[in-house]
Amino acid sequence: MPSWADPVLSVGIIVLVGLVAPVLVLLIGKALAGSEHPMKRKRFESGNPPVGSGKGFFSMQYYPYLIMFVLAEPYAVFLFIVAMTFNLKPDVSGSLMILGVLALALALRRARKMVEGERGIILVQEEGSVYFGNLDEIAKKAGQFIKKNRLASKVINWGYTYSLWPAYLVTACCGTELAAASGPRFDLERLGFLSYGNPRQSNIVLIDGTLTIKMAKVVRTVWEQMPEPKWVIAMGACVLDGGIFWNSYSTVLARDILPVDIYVPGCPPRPEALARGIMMLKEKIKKGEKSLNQPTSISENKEMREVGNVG
Amino acid sequence: MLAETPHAQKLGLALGGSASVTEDQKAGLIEVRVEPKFLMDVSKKLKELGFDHCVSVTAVDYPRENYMDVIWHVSSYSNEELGNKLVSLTVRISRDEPRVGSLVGVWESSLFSERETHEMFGVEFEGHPDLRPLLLPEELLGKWPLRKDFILPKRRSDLFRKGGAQP
Repeated sequence: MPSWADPVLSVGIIVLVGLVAPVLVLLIGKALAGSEHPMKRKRFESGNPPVGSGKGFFSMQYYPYLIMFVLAEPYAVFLFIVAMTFNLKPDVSGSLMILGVLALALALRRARKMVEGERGIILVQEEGSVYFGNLDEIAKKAGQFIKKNRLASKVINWGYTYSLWPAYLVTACCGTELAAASGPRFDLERLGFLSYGNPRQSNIVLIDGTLTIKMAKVVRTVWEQMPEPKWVIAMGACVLDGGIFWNSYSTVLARDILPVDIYVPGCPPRPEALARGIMMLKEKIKKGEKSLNQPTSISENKEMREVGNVG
Repeated sequence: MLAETPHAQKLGLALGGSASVTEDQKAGLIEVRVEPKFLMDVSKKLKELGFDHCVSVTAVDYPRENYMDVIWHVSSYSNEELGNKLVSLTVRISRDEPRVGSLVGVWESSLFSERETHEMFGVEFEGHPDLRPLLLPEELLGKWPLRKDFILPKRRSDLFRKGGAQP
C-alpha cells in the first residue's frame, strides 16, 4: 500500500458515512409517513394565524441555527479532519481543499439532474418485479421491516418515554399546578417531561384546565401541528366532565375534540397526581397503546356548530 | 338587607323623587330603582353628586315574570366618602322588547360592559356608539347565552339530565 493511501482511505470512509446516513434518514422518513391533516404544513406558530404587519415572513430566530448547523459546523469539522489526516496547518490550503470538494459535489449534482430530469430518484419499475433504484419500494420494505421488528419498536418507545415535551398551553387555573410540578420541588424534568414553546418540536398536548369554545379551537390546531407520535393528557375536573363550569354555555370537554390518553382528575390535581399521570402515560407508551377515542375536528363536528339552540 | 336608611333618604331627595332608593348598610350597597324614562336624568344627577365611574354593567333575567333588570354599578374615585359606597342603578325592562338607553354618554367606562351585556343577554342599548360582539365565539352570537332559557349543547344534556339544571 502506498503511503498516501491510508489518509485517503480514512477521509473516504468519513465521506461515505456522511453520504449514507442522510440517505437512510430520508428513506425511513418516507417509509413511515402517513396521511396528514392540511393544517399541518400551514404557516402557524403556537396556534396563532399570522395576521397583520407584525408577523414577518422572515422569522430571524431560525436562520442563525440554520447557518450554524448546515454551514459553519460541518465546515469546521471537515477542516479539522483534513488538517489532521494530511498533516496540514489549518490555513488557506485546507479551506481550498474543502471548497474544491464542495464544488465537485455541486457539479455532480448538476450533472445528475441533467441526466435524470425532474423526477430524480425513481429509475425503473415493472410489473411483478422491482429493480434496484426504485426508492419508493425500497423505502416501503424497509419501513415494514422496521415495524415488524419488535425490538426496534421497543427501543423507540422506550426513547419516547424520556422525551415527553408538552407545548405551553395553559388554558386555566390548573396551570399553576403544572408550574409547581415543573418547579424544583416536584421537578417533572427528571421524568423527561419538559414544557416547550412550540408545537412543532413537542409531542404532548397537556390540557390544563377549563376549555372554552375559543380555546378548544386553538388546542385542536396545536394538536394538528404536532408531528406524530403525539399524546394527550387532560388535567382537572373541567375537561373531564365539566367541573364547576359543568353548566356553562362555553365549556368543551376534552374528549369531544382530542383523543385523550390520560385523565388526571382533581380540582386542581396536585403535582403528585400529575406525576402519576405521566408515569401511567409512560406505561401506555411502552405498551404501544393508543387512545380509542378519535373525535373529528371542530370544523367537522356538527354538534359543536349547533351549540346553544334556544328553545 | 335592603332598607330605607338616612343615607338612602338623603340620596332619594337629591335625585328628585323619581327613583326609589334603598340601602344595604352591611354591604355598603345602595340600590336606586328607576323607570326607563327617568334613567338619563337620574344618571346625570348621580354623576353630579360625585359618582364618577361605572364599575360594571349586568342584567338579571326573569323568564317567568317576563322582565329583565339591567344594572349599572357606579362608584366614586374623587369623593372618598362616596367611594365606600356602591350604587346599583337598576332599570326593569320588558323581556319581549329589551331596549334601554345607553349610559355611555354619562359614564364612558360603561362602553365595553354594555357591549358584553348586549351579547350575553340581548339587551339593546339605544345610543351606544359601537355594539359589536366582544367576547363570544361565532357559534354563540345571537343566542344570548346568559339568559335563563338558554339550553346547553345537546351533547352535554345527557350527562346532566338528572341534575335538573335544564329549564
